[in-house]
Amino acid sequence: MKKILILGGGIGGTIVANKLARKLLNEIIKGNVEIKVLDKKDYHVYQPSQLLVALGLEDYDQLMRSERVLLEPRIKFLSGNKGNVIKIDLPNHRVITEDGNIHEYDYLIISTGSHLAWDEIKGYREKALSVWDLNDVLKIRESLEKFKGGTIVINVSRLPIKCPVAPVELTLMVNDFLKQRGIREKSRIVYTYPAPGVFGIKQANDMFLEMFKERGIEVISPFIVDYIEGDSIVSQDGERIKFDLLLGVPPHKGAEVLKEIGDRRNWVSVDKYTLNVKGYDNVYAIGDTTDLPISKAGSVADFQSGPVSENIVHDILGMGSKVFYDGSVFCFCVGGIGTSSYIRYNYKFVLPVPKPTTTIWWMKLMYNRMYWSLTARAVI
Amino acid sequence: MIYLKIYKTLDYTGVTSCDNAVGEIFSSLEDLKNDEVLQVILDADWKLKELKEFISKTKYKILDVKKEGEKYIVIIGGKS
Repeated sequence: MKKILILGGGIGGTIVANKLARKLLNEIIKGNVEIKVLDKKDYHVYQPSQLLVALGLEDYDQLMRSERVLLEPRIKFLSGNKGNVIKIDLPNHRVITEDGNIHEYDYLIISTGSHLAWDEIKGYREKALSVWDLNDVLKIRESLEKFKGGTIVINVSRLPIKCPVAPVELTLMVNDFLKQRGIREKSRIVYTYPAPGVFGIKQANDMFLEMFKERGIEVISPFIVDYIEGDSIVSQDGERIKFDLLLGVPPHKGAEVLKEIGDRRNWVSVDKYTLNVKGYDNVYAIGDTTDLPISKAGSVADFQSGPVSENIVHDILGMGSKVFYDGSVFCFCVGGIGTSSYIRYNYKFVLPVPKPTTTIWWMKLMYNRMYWSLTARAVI
Repeated sequence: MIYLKIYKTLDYTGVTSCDNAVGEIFSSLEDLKNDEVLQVILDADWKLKELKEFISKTKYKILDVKKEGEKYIVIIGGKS
């Protein structure tokens, strides 16, 4: 029997598990293949919706589903201490979970995501609210509803972050939210980013800078936050901005369990085309887990699940051919409340970034709803 | 003679992240130990210019730039 072990039941782990289960259904029924997913949590969060929930545009119950329900019934799923991985032993092809069990594998897919390192910046956890933290989502909604005017600072502390366009989306939506409440003129919105500009892809960066300018949103970049003191955010250059509300993106790291196989931030080094963990032909990493210089986003994990599942299936069925990941990324980019654009690129080219429209906004909302019934289940 | 170890190589050729590459490079610089440097591969003059401008405002410095075909191999380390 060939054993496929998947670490992480987030977007990447769930989609790749379901793709494999669909492609290998006959082999699973015959008892030739076993697919197992391990995750400490027994629920699945659709993180891209956290932004919309924080702005009151989606309901909180849109964020979560039971992981067991999302996975194909023939996939084994272990959670709690049975699914909490404490050691990955690549040379011996095995993984150990908190309950002491050893899980051997023929193929391993690591999809353990990125995690927030709040403590790396002094004062950040105490003062900032973050759309990236599930526990903060409803607090942000409440803070925005109570906000009476003043300075809102949106800060990206370090890069990379997951969903890199979300700070820009948040800024544009906060602008519209304050306008709707009639307090935009009593408010200052300041966007601070730890690199030049506001975003990484030049075409989109230029468009966003223009949109910020039209809306009177201030941009201070590069701004590398050093610490928070009282109600001020202070950069490494000593620049200080006083805020009434700080909406921040804490530094990100890979999962702690990857400390021994990742770099100093626990990102795992992979081949950019095969997604094999370097030195191991039977081990893959997908999504936020890798150190690839491409976006950490759900769509990336989704795109990567295609070649990884294909290559494992080809190997098991003895088909021999290889499929490569081409660097594909697709992200909706909200241009304010009620409009959206998108970005689509791969390692070689970027498609033109369209102006935000209402039609694309509705497509985005539809996509979020369809995630649970189609994307996560690998139907599309 | 001082030997500096390359902590890691960042390949920023082609289209890269929605995160600004310069910002990602900076984060890796913060992870360097004293005797280490970062190697960055770039494939455009504008990328090199942006990186140089950014690094000049930080406590790090560009120690070497080599052109190999269409690519630039840049070594960055801590300020001595």
